[in-house]
Amino acid sequence: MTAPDPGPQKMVWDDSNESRTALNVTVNGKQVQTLVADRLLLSDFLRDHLGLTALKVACGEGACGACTIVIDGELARSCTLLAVQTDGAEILTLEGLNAPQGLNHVQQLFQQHHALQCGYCTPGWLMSVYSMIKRSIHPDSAEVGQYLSGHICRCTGYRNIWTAIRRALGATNDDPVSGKE
Amino acid sequence: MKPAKLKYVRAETAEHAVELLGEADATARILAGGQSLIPALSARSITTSFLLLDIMRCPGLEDVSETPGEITVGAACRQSRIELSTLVRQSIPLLSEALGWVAMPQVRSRGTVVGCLAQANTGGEVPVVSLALDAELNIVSRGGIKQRMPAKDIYAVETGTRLPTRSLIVSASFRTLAAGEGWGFSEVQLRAGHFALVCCAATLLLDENGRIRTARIALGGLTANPYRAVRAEKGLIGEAPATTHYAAQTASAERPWPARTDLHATAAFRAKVAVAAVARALTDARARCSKQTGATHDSA
Repeated sequence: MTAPDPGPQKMVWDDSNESRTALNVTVNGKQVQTLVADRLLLSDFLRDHLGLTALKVACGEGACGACTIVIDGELARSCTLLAVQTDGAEILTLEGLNAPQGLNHVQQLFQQHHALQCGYCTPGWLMSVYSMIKRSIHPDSAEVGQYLSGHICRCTGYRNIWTAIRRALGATNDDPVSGKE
Repeated sequence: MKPAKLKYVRAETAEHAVELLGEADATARILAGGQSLIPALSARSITTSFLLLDIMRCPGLEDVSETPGEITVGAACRQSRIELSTLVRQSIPLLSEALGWVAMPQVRSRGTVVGCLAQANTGGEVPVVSLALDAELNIVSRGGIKQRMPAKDIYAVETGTRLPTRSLIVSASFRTLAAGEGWGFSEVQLRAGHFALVCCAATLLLDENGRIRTARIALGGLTANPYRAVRAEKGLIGEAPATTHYAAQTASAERPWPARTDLHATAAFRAKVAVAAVARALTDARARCSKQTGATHDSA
């Protein structure tokens, strides 16, 4: 999926009395310079203004993890941030991790292990897995459970997701551990 | 776009933030990590048009400094950074451990330690630790007036805080653990990453005879604000560290305000869980204690 040309878009709820602030960010390696409403959430900026719709908005309060992205190398909820707070930041969304064609390695593992059903929560999980791989988290460490707690899946239960994630982190078996080191 | 209309301003310095706060009406707010404030705005729990003052880029607020006996954490320090800091892990492992219970890694990367203290959410871990570690908050008010307030004074009300209005907490100073001082942090959550149903931070220091010299017990979640279980602490002094069950009962019972009942737990249930939480924290603290120099035999 490619993003449409970034730039301020007129939204139906836009209002001329709205306070706006300049925003300069790098999104998936691409410079974005724009002016946004101060109250615009980062999740809405990425989805509605940049067309990066992989991240999902569900709870809107940071609890469910569907909107998880990476900001300056750190996982973050895009729904609990104002876009303007991230001025100067480097933002990575799932679109930035997609393989040129087909599925990337972690997506393949998710498919293989039936770690998704409706797929709504999956983009968020994939961002967390990306970060866990970057941090070389051991597949059997208690930290895996901590990251898992940051996402809610209402379809699959978590066992298959856990298995896929452990595989992505280099585990050579499918047995989920108890979460204790 | 869920929050109501607002104006966002990046404060240049801490003093600038306080000046702007002073000039603005009472609906102006400090924005740090925003992990509590932004959801509150989205939920329209806060609906009045107002001013948000972002302090995250103010110089100096990202600092972590060490002076003898204490570590000072700036208002822009994010939870994950402090949780993983080698300095904090070595000198105040209690804080590091407790931060591991704050929400999830995906939230701790943005939330701040000092923000937790200012927000004082019921069941929040950092205020509880601040009581056990005799934390003091460094506050700047209008006109550059600086003051240092102990956390115990700030939370000495049933709800809300005693933080001065229109002021900014620039940093919080936590005491480092004494040599041989044991610590424990225990928490009961309904689901990983949620606020505590009940949580407890405890420290124990033994004397040369292996008896308790000082004890600190702070409990959160049972009442709206956390408290120090002073009677339970006093009862422990001079005792063998094995005799902590009575202290756990006392700590839960001596709550200065009524225990909370909500959707998840009744007051009576919370009070019982609190006994278990204190017992667990004290057990861990005891296990981590080492005797003071000159000790010959550990009675535990």
